[in-house]
Amino acid sequence: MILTTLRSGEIAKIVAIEGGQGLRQKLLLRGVSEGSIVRMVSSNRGPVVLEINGSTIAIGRGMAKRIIVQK
Amino acid sequence: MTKRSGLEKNNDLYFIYFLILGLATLAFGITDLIVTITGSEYSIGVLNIPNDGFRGGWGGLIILFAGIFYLSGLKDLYEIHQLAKVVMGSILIWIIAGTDIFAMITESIPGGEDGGWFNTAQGFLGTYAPPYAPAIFLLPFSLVVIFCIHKYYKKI
Amino acid sequence: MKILLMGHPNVGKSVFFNRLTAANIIESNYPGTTVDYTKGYMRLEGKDIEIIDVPGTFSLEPKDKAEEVAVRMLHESKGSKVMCVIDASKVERGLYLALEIIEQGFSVVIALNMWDVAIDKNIDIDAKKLEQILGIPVVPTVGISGEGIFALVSRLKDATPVKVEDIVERTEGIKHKANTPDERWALIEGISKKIVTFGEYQHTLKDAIGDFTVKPATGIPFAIAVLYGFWSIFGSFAGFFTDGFLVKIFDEHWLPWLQAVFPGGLGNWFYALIVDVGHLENGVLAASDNCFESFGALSSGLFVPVGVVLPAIFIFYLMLALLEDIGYMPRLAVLIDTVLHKIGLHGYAIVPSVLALGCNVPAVGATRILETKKQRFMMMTLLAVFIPCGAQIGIMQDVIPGSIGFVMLYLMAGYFIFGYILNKVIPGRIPEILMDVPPYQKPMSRNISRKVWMRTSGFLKVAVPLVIFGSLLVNVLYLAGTIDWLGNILAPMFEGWFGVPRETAGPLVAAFLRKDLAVAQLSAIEMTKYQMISAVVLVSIYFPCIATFAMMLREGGKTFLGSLAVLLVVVFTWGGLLHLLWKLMGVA
Repeated sequence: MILTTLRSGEIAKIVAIEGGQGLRQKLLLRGVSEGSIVRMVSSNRGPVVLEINGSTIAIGRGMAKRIIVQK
Repeated sequence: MTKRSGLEKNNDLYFIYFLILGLATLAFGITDLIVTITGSEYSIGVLNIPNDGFRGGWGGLIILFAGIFYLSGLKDLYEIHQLAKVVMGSILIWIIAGTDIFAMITESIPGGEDGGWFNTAQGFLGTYAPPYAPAIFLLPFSLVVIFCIHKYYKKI
Repeated sequence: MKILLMGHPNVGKSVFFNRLTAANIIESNYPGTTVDYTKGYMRLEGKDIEIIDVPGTFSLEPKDKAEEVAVRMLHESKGSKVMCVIDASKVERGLYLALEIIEQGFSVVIALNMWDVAIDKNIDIDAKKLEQILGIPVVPTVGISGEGIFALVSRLKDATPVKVEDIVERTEGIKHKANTPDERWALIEGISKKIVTFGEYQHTLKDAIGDFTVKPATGIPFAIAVLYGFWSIFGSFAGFFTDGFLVKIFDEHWLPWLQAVFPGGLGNWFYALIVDVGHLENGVLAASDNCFESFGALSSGLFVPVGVVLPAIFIFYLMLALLEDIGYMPRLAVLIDTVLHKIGLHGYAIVPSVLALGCNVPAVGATRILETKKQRFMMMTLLAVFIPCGAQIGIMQDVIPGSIGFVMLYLMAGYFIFGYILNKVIPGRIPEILMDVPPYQKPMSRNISRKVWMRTSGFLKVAVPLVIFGSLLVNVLYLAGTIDWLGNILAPMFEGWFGVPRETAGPLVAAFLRKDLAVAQLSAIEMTKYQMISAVVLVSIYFPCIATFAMMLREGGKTFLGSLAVLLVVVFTWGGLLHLLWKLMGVA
């Protein structure tokens, strides 16, 4: 499923980042990588806010839609 | 996930306390907004509801939010995210009451346009006389949340 | 030998730098304030060694202007040692930058900073093992308390260049080299599997509030309250000093004293320049009784920056520094992103926008944190045109206390409407927001006092000379009749199009030097409340002050001409529209 469909508080694992090298690199440098466990903080409106390994990060919705997760 | 917290005991007591505080806060917020929208002057006894756009309008809205924060957080207070909502309700009240008190202090000290450098003792004390805005009355009751935080971490 | 201090933004590099050198620099919680690099000297084994605080960068493939500077500085410093500061709770991404620097042949020591935060989050890192794998010194540190910094410095001598191939070999289980980003990440994953374990982590109250303040449903009400508190304290504090004491000092003591002791007296041209131009009362020249109307370089020229603006600027920067240090600004950025994205900016834009409410000059500098040329151009133009600076707001509170809310709203509406139009008209990419939301932390009084002092003194250095020079210039132009001449020539435009008196020409000339001075001068012109609002709006959106002008030229280069074109269009449409509005309301 797509990251943006996760509801607040739900936990999932990132399985793929669909996008070019540029996008992948950008996300990896912020700690968003395949295999990470994420907890959704805010997904209703505006940018998606995630918690990964205890750190919080905000990601624009367009980018977040390219991230595939599995519950 | 939830760690056992010092708030688990007497949970009902906290529930009732924040239910009453929440409802009172909510009521103050709504009154404040109504008074501001209708533009009427509203003062009974020691209570004065502000009716200007800033303190009555925005301030009233924030008091209303504080009430909603209290009511949405009061259940299962021993859970940190619930407690956080109640704490935020109190923070909102601290902001409104704090800025009101700060405004009083800054008004009370200078002597005013025609007076001397500093206010007279009488004028100084007069600034602090009632009536007060609702947030000032809510302030002492909102401080209970500090006790709850200590209790949560079992420091009391 | 030189030492470069490198790392991601917000890993506490600046705190580190201060510990090592005791120099004055700004350290804050949102990306971008260390764009200007800072240099200092550290005493090591009896020698003074140059140490440079390089702007924060995520990698050596730069994404914005600050990162470009960082990469350039690294390449200019072959043979230097690099102190790579890594956030211990985010080791993996920090290692990427470290690997890249190692690959370039530099001698590197690694500081695993914010070690205490990592412990709080139950993240266990085997620093010894990391040191063994990398073959370079690795030291856990806590910048805020200074823990580990001595150990780090003493290990500098152990830093020698290492080969990435050797690191690959020591990591074991990695079969390939590490030349491409993907290979590098694979290597890092291999390393981190050996050294990092994430334990179970319980949210604390701070974390829970951190979450709620970034979620729109709970965060927006909270943001409203924060802004309410900001504005209320701003007003009370500035009023306390300005209306409570400074007006009295200047009007009842300073001005009468000047009038009494300064040679010349009313009517003398030199006296008019320095002390008081006076005003006509029943055809007779009379002395001014307040510093708003006297216009002299030593009366109005000092009263405006020191009497009115200084308290406003000080409290503004104090509260901004508090919000930055606590870690609230990134949350505000996330909350406002939805709106700003619609006009082609993103949440970060809140940082230059809020800074501009203090002073437009550093705000134009802060646009560097935006990624694309389009965004930087838009941001620069919008803030120079639509955001009144703290100096101006301070004066407005004194001159038009009742209408300030309307003026701010009208300017804000312009910000969004012209932002929307610019976004549609200008070609270019608008990248989405991607930013760290740091945990809340206790503000450090040292940090805050340093930041407030730097910003406030920076303001005084620019403002006082400019206001004094501005009042002199405008007075000279008055005496020479230039202002009247300008006013008469431009009268059709002023009176017909903008609906303000032709005397507004004078303040508008002053506005180019200082906007606060201009608003103060407006207060001496006789006009209706609505004309006054129009005039204040005109002063705001008309040319940015000269200091902002210079900064825009430096930052924007050629795009500056574009900003000027936008500005002209805005002045005519937005200024004229207000006149039209008054006509429709039947008040003009």
